[in-house]
Amino acid sequence: MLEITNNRMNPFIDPNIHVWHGEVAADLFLAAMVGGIMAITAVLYLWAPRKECSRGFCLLPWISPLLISFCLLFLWIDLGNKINAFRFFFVLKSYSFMSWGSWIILMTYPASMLFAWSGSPQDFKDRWLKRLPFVAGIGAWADRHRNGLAIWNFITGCALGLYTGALLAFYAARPLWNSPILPLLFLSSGLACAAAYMLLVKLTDKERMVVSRILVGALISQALMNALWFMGLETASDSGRMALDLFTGKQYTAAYWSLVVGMGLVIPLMTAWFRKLQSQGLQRAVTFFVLAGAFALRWLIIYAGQHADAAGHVAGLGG
Amino acid sequence: MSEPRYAMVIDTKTCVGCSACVIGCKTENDTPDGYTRDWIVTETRGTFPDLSMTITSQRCNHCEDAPCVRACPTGASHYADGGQVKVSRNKCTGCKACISACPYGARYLHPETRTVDKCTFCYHRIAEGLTTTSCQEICPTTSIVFGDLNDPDSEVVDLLARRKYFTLRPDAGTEPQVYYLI
Repeated sequence: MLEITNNRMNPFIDPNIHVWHGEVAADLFLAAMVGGIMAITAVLYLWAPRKECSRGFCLLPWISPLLISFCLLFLWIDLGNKINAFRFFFVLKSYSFMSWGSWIILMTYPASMLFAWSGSPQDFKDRWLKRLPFVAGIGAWADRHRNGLAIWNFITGCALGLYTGALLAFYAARPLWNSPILPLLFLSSGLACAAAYMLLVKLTDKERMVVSRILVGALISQALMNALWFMGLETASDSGRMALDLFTGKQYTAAYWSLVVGMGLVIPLMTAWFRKLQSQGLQRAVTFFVLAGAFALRWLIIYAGQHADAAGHVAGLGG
Repeated sequence: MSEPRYAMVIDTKTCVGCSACVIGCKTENDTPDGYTRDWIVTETRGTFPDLSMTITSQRCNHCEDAPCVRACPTGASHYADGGQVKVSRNKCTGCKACISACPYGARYLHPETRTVDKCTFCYHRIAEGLTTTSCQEICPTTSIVFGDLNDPDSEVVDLLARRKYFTLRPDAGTEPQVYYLI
């Protein structure tokens, strides 16, 4: 028998820490999606730089700065001491992934806006140059350096997607999060979200086919990373197995397998695999399923990860 | 003389779990209602009648390799001159990264300042020249000893040389500086 009594009952700490909520899940979800959009649009441009793209596809990168602003808003809402938010941008702490993330998010603005400008249709640029003539110089610079901007977008996009998982992966105190697979899982999920979102935009048939293939690839990669993550937890320490139990029999099991795996992975993958994405209604449904599944993935990982705090070891003597 | 390296030694043989240290800390540091910087854990092992009980007074371990300091994005969590892990309120954003990083659950978000709070090894008392923490001062069984590990004449060095001890969660690799005598 082992009985442990603890007279500490600090709010949001006991019996399990519960300090990060939906705002953090929304922040990670949006950041990974923006990372996916940046990486995919950059790769498609670098793959065929001289190819004419549809108006919808050319204007697509403009969504990144908008979404990243919402991402920062959620991050700010989550802060306990909001007035000190500017402190994130005073230092770069090399060992803190949150510090790296703040700077990567900040880098997203110039990278995505300049790349979006350089790929925008001429009439769109002319209209904005009339309103904001002072951007002519930087706009011309972006037009001349589109290749470099695409590479910058790809790197920043991948870094952003990886960061969303790395933020959690390096907390050794949280066995569910403490896995090197988590950044790759979140990046794959971000790419899937980006591809699913792109299906909502008015694209040509060829563009739609390419995006559908990216979606299938990203979903397969996400499924693979998910399996590797679970295998890593199962073959790790006792606390890793206890954490995995939350998704394989305990309180988060039904939600995880129905929302993340069923709705977010299996249904969209089957639909895209069998090329059923010709109907607009199905495309919208698949987009909804992928985005909702990706949000549920982060939500559940955030909550379950805090629940699995190496239970019993904190109070246990000698570890 | 070398820089001090403060540590705490707690005797589990004499600790009776009276919670005087918890009350002393709350009074000294004016911690908000419902929150505490130190706490008592009682662990009972075995099968009746072969039972053993260990009582420990726990708090921030002021780890030598503190994950909270590494996780902090603004440098608010830092090491003070004596190795104590401290939080600068004017730099803390309340992002809670350090709370997630701490394997001991020793940190919480202060409901009034909205910044992270925890045991400081009574830094303010030591800075004023006192040699004891409030929990040590109030302990009726003198189970708590605070001192400098770099001072060969200090009681903590003597106790750790003479007695067997353990630290909490050594598997976390954080090199905690609160030692429990057995």
